[in-house]
Amino acid sequence: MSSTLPAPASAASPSFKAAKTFSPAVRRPIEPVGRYFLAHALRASRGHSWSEYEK
Amino acid sequence: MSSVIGIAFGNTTSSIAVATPDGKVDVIANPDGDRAIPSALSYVGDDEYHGAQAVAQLVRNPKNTVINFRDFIGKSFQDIDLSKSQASAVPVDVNGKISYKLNPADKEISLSVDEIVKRHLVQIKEAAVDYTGTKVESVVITVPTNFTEVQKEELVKIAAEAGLNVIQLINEPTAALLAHLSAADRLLEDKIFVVADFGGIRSDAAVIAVRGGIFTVLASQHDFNLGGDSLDDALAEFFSKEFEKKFSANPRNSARSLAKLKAACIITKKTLSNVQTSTISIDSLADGFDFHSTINRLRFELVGRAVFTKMAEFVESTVKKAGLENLDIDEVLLVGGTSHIPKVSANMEAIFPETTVISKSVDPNELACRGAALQASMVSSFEKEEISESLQPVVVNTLHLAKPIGIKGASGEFISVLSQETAYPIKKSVIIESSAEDALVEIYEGERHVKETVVEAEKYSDDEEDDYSDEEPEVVKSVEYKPAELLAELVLPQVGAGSKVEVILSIDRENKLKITARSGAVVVSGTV
Ligand SMILES: Nc1ncnc2c1ncn2[C@@H]1O[C@H](COP(=O)(O)OP(=O)(O)OP(=O)(O)O)[C@@H](O)[C@H]1O
Ligand SMILES: [Mg+2]
Repeated sequence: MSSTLPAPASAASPSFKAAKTFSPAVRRPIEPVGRYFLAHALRASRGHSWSEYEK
Repeated sequence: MSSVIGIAFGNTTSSIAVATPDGKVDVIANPDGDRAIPSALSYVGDDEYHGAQAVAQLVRNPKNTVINFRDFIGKSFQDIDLSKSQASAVPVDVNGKISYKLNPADKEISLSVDEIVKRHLVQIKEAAVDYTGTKVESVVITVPTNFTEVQKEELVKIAAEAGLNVIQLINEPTAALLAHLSAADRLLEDKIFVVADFGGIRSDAAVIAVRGGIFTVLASQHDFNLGGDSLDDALAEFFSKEFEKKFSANPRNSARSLAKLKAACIITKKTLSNVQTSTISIDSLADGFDFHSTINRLRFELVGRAVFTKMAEFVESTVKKAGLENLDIDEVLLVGGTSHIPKVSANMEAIFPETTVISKSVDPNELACRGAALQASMVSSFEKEEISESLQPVVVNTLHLAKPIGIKGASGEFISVLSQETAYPIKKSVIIESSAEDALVEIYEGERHVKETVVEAEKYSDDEEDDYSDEEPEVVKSVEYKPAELLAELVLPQVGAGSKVEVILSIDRENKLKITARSGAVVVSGTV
């Protein structure tokens, strides 16, 4: 798929504008199997969050 | 040397798999050469028979033969259904506990269901030891998604008495899906699956979302009166009628005749999964008459039609239970011995749209034990505390994204970045080209739409049924997502037309969506 980004109406400077929050999340159990779960569990048990990995 | 194994423990059969160090998974055959080992024990004199040898005793020695006991684990007598024990030893109530009173050597012995399960697991363990030539250290066992905590605790306890250290119990459909996706290295494809498991005395189905390699069961359902057994009964009834007509003798009048007939029907049924026609031969079926007949696959499909229809409806209603339509299902994974039957997959192909993949492996009843073996080899290096910590509710009960979040493309289309049902925390990035000198990144929540496409009817060849050959255009439905709610807008000036913009979306446990867009030195970021 070759989607592209549209152009803004005007672009004086870089900007960020928040509009709305997204729909409330649903709490469900995840299945404790596989290596991606293991990575999840490791992060959770050590209290890590994604933001620590971002930079 | 010792090995870690995976066990799929069904009411009808059990299978064992072991993961080799190079990541391959072998399914283990018992000394009889069976990989689908019947979950059955039979007592004759002082001897214990297991597996197929025990099942063979259902004709001569049914009262000392125990089958269909897995679902009795951790239950009290008043809670169980005895109907699946009618052609074998029938459980009795011993102070609320489920027990079997057997009489193999002219003296009654009483075996609790726990003891039966233990003896079965000992046989399974010995088969594994025999095959691998090593001690069996630890195991992962699969359980149905409706097993209660009490049942799970009981199973772990009994397994320990059988000398098996259970490091984890995992759900049957999840195990099967893990094996299926690991084999093809497809864990990271975001897809919605239905795992349809057609077994012996029961059928189970689960709708599972796979997101970033993490599995979430959206709905599951069980039918305790649907499976291969129902087909055996239908076939037995069909042949009974034929036999009665021919000989005016009724094979239903004697338990022994019925057992013979049923055993032969199972073989015939299995043969019809591979070839178009099968014979059935039973010496002295009833009143001294031998029975010989043939049946083709089409006839069998008619005989079992009510059962096959129920199976299809069962899968459809599980999809509904998840709040979805068949259109939303990316793939149906067929599991369980009864999934060998071509009509079962044909029915799935009929009820799901063409966009849904119907997957059936060569051995649909080996997927669960393979998944268990993979999981066993993965967690065996962890300490017991580490494993139990990872199973705590705070780790496992996770927020999931309700609707997809993505970017609105230059043509107004929704480019999904985060799929609905992705477990928190989430982080994903995409790279998109800018169509102009300045770039606008609009982050939207997506809304599901059913798209209807009219396709011109194909000209069907003559052997197709007439009803379908009318040349009316066909309407094909598919699910697509459209940008619905704008969440945020990011402007990146002077990136240059055709340059690449990276958009990173992440959601932390505090439910904050962080958006970063960058192209070269231009970086914009914010939180919603
Ligand atoms: N090749 C085959 N063709 C048709 N049916 C088959 C074939 N192989 C096995 N079966 C049937 O599959 C059923 C057993 O399936 P499976 O081993 O998955 O059950 P299970 O999970 O142990 O049992 P349950 O669902 O009762 O707990 C039996 O009815 C058996 O006759
Ligand atoms: Mg099963």
